[in-house]
Amino acid sequence: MSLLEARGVTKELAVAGAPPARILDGVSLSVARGEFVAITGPSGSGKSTLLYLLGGLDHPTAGEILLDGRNLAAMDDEALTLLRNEAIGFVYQFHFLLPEFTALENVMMPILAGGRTTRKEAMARARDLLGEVGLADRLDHLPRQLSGGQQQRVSIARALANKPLLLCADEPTGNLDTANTERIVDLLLTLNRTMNQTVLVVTHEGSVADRAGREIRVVDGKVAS
Amino acid sequence: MDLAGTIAVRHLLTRRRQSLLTILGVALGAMIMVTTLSLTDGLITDIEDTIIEASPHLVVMAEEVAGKPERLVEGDVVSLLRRGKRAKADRLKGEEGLRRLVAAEPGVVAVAPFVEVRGILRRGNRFRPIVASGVVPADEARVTRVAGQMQAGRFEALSERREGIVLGRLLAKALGVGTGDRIRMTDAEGRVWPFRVVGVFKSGIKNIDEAQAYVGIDVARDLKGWGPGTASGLAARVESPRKVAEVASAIVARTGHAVDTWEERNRTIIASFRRNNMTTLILVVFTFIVSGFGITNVLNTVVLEKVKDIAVLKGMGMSARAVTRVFLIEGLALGVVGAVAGALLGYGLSTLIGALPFSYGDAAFVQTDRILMTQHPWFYGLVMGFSILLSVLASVGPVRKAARLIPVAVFRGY
Ligand SMILES: Nc1ncnc2c1ncn2[C@@H]1O[C@H](COP(=O)(O)OP(=O)(O)OP(=O)(O)O)[C@@H](O)[C@H]1O
Ligand SMILES: [Mg+2]
Repeated sequence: MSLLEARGVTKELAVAGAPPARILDGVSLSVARGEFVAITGPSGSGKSTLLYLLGGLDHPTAGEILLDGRNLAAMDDEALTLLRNEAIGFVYQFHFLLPEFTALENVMMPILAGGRTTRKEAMARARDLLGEVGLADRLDHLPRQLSGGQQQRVSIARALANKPLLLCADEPTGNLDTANTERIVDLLLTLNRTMNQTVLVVTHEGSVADRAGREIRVVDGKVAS
Repeated sequence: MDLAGTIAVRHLLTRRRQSLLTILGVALGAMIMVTTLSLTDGLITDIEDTIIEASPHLVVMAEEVAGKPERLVEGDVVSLLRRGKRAKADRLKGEEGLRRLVAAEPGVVAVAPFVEVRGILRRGNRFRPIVASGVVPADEARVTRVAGQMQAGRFEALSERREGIVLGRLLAKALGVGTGDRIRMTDAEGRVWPFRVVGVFKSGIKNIDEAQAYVGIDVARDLKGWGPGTASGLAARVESPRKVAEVASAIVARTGHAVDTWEERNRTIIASFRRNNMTTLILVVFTFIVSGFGITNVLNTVVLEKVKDIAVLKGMGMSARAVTRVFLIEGLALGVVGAVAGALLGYGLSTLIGALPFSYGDAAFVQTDRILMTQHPWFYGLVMGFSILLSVLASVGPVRKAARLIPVAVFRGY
């Protein structure tokens, strides 16, 4: 059975003074546990919209999204919030770290928000994760004291904090130079291989897509075969 | 501290300047509130204390009331009974019997007879209308505080010199006399009586200090042409002046004589001071409310500035309830820290004001040389409660905005 399955997912958005725009039109796809999937497609085709739906941040207009057998489309905001905390990690194009908190504290945050472990355990886990992304010596740095690549690596560590079933990333290298892009992609691939982490990456960079295990192409709100 | 608390504290610490200014605003509001409470409560206490000690707590009058009262309820009973008075007697005969009866009443501490004389005091070309109480100095000293309120001379001298007279401070000042000076009094029939000033007292109440005099009771009886054992009435001191109405009712019931109390005599003036205080307090509450807008202002700024952070927190699974807590804690922290600081400042300020010499001047109703500032725990309880209520109210708007924020709407600009 696949970890993630979308069936006929449609998303319409109200546009002032016009009929609702259909951004996604009957998207169906399935991702197996441990897969590394790249979502590609032209600008404006609906990649980000799809990823936000698969990552439990938005409600589809129609269709089902099953994560580990649970239908996200049928959940209310409260249930989705809990599910995101437990099972989904999200990396955005910008790092979106909280500026008042150190790298370590930022990574601890999803664990503390869940409230399922002690502060001490959360700290140990965050320290391990920052070690894995190569920032063991930057624990107490504030986001503004880190480089762009380092900031994005902290945000990847944060996304992994609660050992999510699914790691979603929306153009995580969009703001980085080639060297840093390589490094981030290497990191995601390593996580995928060594920890069997399921990864979904939206990207328009061929180099990233080439290294993914599979590519799903979205054109005009539909999956192109 | 949990995550919400930690985030709240970080938010406030990173915008230290604005937080401090807001706390200062609340502190000023709280300080003004504490100080005003202390001032207004002190003023009423001061006025009541001064009034209570400026004249007898209660006076049993020669007049008798019609019938026995049916029900003894405090307060209105006395005035009700006074309205229904029967005998228009101007004097008590054989006052000693009544004196024993009144003295035996529970709550009564001391009783003294007095003979009231009206006349005009004259010194050179200055004259003043006065009310002179003819008293037995030793008895009067147990009933009122006048013996201890002497600014010059001695009250007891009234019993040593037949023509001795004690004057109120403003009366002596107006006539330009001091102890040892001779003075004349013209009575209602136009007869002139010589006196010698043996003392000057200060009650602190203007009306009394400018029109009240004391003479020996025998002289007063002579002036009136009354025999021994007569009196205009009996003055009494009670244990709890603020519960004088109860004692008064009991005396009316037992003796059938009308009773006048300090409370009755000064009802309107005390009520008007209370009304003024209320107005002041309402104004102060408004000042405090204004400082609450400072809290709303900070929180609105933080919520607006932290829209992305809130979206990220919700995105990683922080519940709407926890987000609510973040900003509620911020609002409460500003309000409570401000109120505690303000309460301390208010304590300091009211203590300082109370220590400064101050006079309302001779024209004021109450004559004091200090502003009495009272301190009660309830001032501080009120200010704290009020500031907590205010911070919560001030936080409601921004907090709801934050709690309802939909993360994807922030990331995607829906
Ligand atoms: N708030 C909105 N209201 C209406 N339409 C929107 C809104 N946001 C996005 N769209 C439309 O939805 C479509 C898909 O947008 P989406 O961001 O998913 O594209 P994308 O594939 O991620 O593009 P890019 O590669 O440029 O990031 C676009 O055509 C866009 O115009
Ligand atoms: Mg996009």
